[in-house]
Amino acid sequence: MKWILILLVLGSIRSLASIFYFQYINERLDLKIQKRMDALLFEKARKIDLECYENPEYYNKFNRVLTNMNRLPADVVFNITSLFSFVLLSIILFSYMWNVDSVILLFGVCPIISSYIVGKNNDLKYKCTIEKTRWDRQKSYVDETIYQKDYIKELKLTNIGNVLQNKFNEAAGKNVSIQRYYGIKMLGFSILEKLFSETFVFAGGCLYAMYRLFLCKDLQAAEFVVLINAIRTFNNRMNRALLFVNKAGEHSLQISDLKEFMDYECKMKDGIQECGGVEEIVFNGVAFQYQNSEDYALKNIDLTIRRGEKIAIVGYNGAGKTTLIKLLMRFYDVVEGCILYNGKNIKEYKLEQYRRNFAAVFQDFKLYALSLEDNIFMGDKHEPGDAKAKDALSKVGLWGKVNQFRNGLKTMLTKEFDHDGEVLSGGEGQKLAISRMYVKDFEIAILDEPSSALDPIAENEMYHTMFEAANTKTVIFISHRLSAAAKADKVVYMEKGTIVEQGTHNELMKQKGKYYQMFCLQAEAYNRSGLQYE
Amino acid sequence: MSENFNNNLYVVNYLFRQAPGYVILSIVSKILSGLRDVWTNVILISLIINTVFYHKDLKFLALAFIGYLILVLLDLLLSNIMTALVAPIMEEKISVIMEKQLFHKIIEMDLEAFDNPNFYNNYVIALKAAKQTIFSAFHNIAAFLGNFVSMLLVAGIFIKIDIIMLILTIMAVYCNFCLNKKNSELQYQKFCELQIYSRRRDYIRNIFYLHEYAKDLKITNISKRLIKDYWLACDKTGQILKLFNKKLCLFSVLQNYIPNVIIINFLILLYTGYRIIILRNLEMGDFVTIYNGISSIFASLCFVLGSFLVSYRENAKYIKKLREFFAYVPKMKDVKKENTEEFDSLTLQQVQYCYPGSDVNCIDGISMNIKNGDKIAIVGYNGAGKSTLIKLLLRLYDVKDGQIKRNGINICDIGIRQYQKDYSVLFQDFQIYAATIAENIAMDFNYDSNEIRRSIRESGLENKVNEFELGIETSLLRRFEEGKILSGGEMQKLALARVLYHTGKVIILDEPTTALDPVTEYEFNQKIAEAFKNKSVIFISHRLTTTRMADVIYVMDKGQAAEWGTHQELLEKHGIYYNMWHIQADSYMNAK
Repeated sequence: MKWILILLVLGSIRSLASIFYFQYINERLDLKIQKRMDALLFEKARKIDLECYENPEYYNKFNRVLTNMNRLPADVVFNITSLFSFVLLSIILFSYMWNVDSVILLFGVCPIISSYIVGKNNDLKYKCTIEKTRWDRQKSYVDETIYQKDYIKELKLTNIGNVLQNKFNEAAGKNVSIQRYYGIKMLGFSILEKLFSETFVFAGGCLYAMYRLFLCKDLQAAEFVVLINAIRTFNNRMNRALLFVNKAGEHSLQISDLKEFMDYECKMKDGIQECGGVEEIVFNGVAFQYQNSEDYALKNIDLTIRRGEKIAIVGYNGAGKTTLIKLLMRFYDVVEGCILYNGKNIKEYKLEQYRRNFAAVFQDFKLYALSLEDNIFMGDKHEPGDAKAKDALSKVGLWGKVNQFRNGLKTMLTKEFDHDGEVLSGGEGQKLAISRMYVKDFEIAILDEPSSALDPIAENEMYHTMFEAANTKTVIFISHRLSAAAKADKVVYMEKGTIVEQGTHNELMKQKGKYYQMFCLQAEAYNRSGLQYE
Repeated sequence: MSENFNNNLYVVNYLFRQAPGYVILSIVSKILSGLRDVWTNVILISLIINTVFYHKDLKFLALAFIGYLILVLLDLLLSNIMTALVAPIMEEKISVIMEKQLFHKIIEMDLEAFDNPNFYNNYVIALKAAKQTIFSAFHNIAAFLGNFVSMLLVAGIFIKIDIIMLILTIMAVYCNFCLNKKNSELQYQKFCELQIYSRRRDYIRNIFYLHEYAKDLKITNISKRLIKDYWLACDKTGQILKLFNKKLCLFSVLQNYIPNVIIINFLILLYTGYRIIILRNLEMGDFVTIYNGISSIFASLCFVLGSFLVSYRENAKYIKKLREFFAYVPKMKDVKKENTEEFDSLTLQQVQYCYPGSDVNCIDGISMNIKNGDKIAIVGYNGAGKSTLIKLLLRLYDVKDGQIKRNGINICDIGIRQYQKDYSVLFQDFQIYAATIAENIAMDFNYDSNEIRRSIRESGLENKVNEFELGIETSLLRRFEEGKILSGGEMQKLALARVLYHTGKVIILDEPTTALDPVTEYEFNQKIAEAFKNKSVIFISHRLTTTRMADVIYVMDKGQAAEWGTHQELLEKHGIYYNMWHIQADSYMNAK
């Protein structure tokens, strides 16, 4: 009786402790670990070369690391501690059973066989999933397409929906046949596995116990129950322990992914020089080639930009204009030649500090599900309700709209996290992206087709305001509207990755070269008719 | 509560209509598993003990054992066939049917509904989840039925052994149920509160690994701002966890002690001990049955009140959206009327339109007359209503007031698809699909190869297509297979080929050239002028040079046609058009 009581007390203390740990502490510890891990990962992700994103193999790994990492640390800890406790328990159980009835240990063979089968079965499952991945991607493509607002007009007006439906059906059909092929094999394995892991053990255990009960007659009822339970517990532990071993293997793959990611050395090396205000930027015989591409994206680029100059880069789509500005901001390093900033190679400067010199409006600018104010200041220090934001928004002609918002600058963008959030149109978004430039203390502004979503009047105003505001600052912009280029101090005309012509608008017009032709093409239409009219 | 029930029932009903065999088989399989568990854990062992100690008939035990083997093998076979073959295959097949239904529903849906971000967030995103949910909801329900049957069975056995035992067990179960109900409510509340912050964290985490944000992260301080937000979300999560876990911890202790320790370990033990030792009327086997039976009931209960209830409620939310979506009745009424008469004219009479939720008319009384072969241009500022007007013409929206007439017949009296066939449209935001070039041009899987070749020739895409080994059969995009990627200019030509292929009566071009470089834009305009010489064309553009040649130019301002006429007439008016023209032209003129 004393022993029963002691057992009871010990048992309750154990269960109390485990409740306290699992219900109260565990999740919060996981959160802490996650938070620390994420801090490391974010920092790494922010610094990693842009090239890595374009390399599908690396990017997939990178993606996997970041998605798995959410659960991984907690999983690994749990797995290892469980494995440890199961091993310990199994040893105790093993020695106990050795004493009671060593025949039972034979049942331990079953989990080993079943775990071998599980391994086989998992291989099949893996192959099956891999084969299905391609078709699943096809299915989810169709899904994404038909649910997207951008596609709805065409879906309504044309029969493209039938093409998409066919794609979906095709993929589903393929998946069915893949499943059939593997399913039959998997069926065999999974039945075998269950037979070994459960049925044989239980039925065999019962039969063995009955043998001892009826034929040997050396078993008490209580012992019978203990025996049956011992067999099942032992088997169960073995199964779980083997499962944890499998899991540990999986985790080690994920951890090696993580290690590779964290140990990745950025090709973009940090320099040591402090970086001051810009005086002069020189491109000296610069050439650049994208990874995995045979052709040069840029070749023989020679260009000098002085402080305060307004530079327009023009040319066909795909002439290398965007690549040029990406090199300048050191998103990539040049393959040949060098870019000099105040006479020193840009590689010598501290990277972060160097990049902070730029204010950039990208063609594919992004808006964030943050407040309007945060979307303008982009994380730079500012006073709440800073007048600079109002000023910047007035400059781009968005203040009128923002002023009407109930929460003004505090308004959240997008409805992602706030039902009262505002959704901006394409043109408004572009204006907002431009306004970022006006609050930033930049040295060089870079604008990549900043007016594609604006109407001509807004476009005209945008350039006017920009030139005025930039004043003594350096501005580099890419535009298809040559009337804007005409206002620049220097026009750079690019074709097939090289600079074909550069000079002031007037010089280039006198040259009567490619720029002249392009300009005339656009101007002609106005000119001809304008002359007619006047 | 009853709403949740209805929604979950809807799933069973829906799946039953699609695949009755699958539904029945799944449920049977789950019930079989439940039976097997009870048979194995509760009945068989006690039978063996009773047979040995009370010298009962061995035959009966043998039969029970054979019954056990049959049950186990049946269950083994059925449940594995279900998981390895039937379920994945049937789900694949049902997904095809669902996709088709959803697709038709989406097509039928008013475009207005898509303009409403609330609607969009509410339904479309939920729908994607609903497709997965419908299966998991069903599995959840089937598992519930399996557990329910085994609970009933155990209860039946208890009645046979001792009614008092059943009452005691029910007390324990009820106690557990009450505590667990509170517990699961708390869990659910915790889940909901955590969701806000976990979504926030996911959003931020995504930004750090999506290619499109990489440039911003490197060049601005936005990462600092985002990480600050991330920390905040983590801290909030921590606070919520702390708050809820305190209560949950307490409940778990109660749950562990009241039903388990007090009722089962103490009361039932006392009672069974009393019957065995004092009354000597309880068989050893029954004693084992009771203990195994109670743990079986508790395991089922744990499932029902835990994971079952949480998914039951969560799923119901999505299914509700799915049902509402299926029940959606489009405002735009379709009529089944054939109209084979050739296109001759289109008339707009005092057309008004206003976006839902707005009190300003976006289109405010426009009248137009378009005859076969006319070239019409619509110009104006951003937001003047140009694109809306086009959507009205195409009957993607219905007018609020006024009328649009085709050959004098109100377009509301013509079948929608039938009416829309007159038009070939090139939108500014045209899309490229992950399909072959030919399919991308024909926008259908049936096409005339000769016509496709003609249209790529005329659009200037022929040289590019000839570079490809598979020609017009070449797949585009790299979404799921290694397709070709076209440049911006080439995509534009492909879009033009679409319009050239579909020889509609009316060609609509909605700002087709904004993304083009000047030379490509020029060539593009030349090609259009040539190809559609004999067609009605409606241009929208804010580049006034592209619209100059039109027979009539409509200048839109604040939803109205402020001015109209030929280029010359409009310049002479010295109005809006004159100003716009000069702002654009002068910048070139001065530069020259």
